[in-house]
Amino acid sequence: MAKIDEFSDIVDSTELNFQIVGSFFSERNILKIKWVPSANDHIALLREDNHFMIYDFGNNIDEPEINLDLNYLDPKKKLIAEIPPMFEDFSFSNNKDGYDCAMFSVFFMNNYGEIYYKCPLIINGLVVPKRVLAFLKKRINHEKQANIAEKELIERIQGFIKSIEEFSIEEDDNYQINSSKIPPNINVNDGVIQGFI
Amino acid sequence: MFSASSLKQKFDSSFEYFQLLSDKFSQEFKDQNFGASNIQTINESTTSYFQTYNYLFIIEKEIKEPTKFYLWGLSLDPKETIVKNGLPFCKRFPISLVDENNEEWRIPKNLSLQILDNSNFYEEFLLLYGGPYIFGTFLILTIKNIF
Repeated sequence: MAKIDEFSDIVDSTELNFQIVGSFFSERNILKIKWVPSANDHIALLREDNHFMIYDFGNNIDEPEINLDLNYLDPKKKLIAEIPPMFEDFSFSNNKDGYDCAMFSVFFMNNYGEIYYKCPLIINGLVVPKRVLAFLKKRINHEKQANIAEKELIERIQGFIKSIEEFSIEEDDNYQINSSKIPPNINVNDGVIQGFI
Repeated sequence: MFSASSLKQKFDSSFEYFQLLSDKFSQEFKDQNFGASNIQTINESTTSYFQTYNYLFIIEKEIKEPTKFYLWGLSLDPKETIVKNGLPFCKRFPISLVDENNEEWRIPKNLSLQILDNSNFYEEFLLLYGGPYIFGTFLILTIKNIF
């Protein structure tokens, strides 16, 4: 069996420099960091104070592009609970097959085991395959004709699709969100979680 | 003694080689008390695989004062795995944390560092985080420096 001493010749004294990226995260500890799928250079982080933030590393790292206070996902629950829930993890859905709005969603889990989702989550530079919108349109049309989905929901998703098309830069097979043009009604900074799963 | 060269001869498939190498390394680290003493894995990310380079990086925290962190780099490519003393090629480098002015950054007591799990995203960056801080380096430079 190899002993750790035998690894000695592979231990190098050269130090690798890791530079601090920014001191813009306040004094709150970061619980998790993940890359944002389909959006170049964006990272999402969850802080111990239940704040979920997205930063654009390729552009402005001084201000978060998105800052969600997860304490307000479900205000009633916060008031009832003796100990307010603490969010511990999050995950993106990178489903680009486009049968639903999954690729625009982010999921959160708290220490009570409850899972919430936020949809849509619109980020500057997000690349949306055109086929995703085509699938969404087809599905909405089907549900509208079959009278499956509520009218309000259908209108909301139709508005969302229209906004994506209108406020994006069109590429070959994709739309790329241009946040400078995103209208306030789909700005998610002060968005509301849609529900409890 | 574990010999990477014998493994290479024995297994043609890189997947089998990868699997066995991973298993073997896990055992090596376990045998050396590597995981128990210096690698914190409970609720913390201490490894990250970079597909572009086929490298596994592991963060190690030395439990002594002053706190010191190390980066292990392990190539999982059989072609690149150079045998030294019968061991697979793996290097451990001390990590230096620096501020915006490239000056040494004083490590707070009890700081733990985690590696951002890249999972095929943006493999040009290697990001570490701990407490309220994020540290980064361009991985291509790191790779050149290390290997």
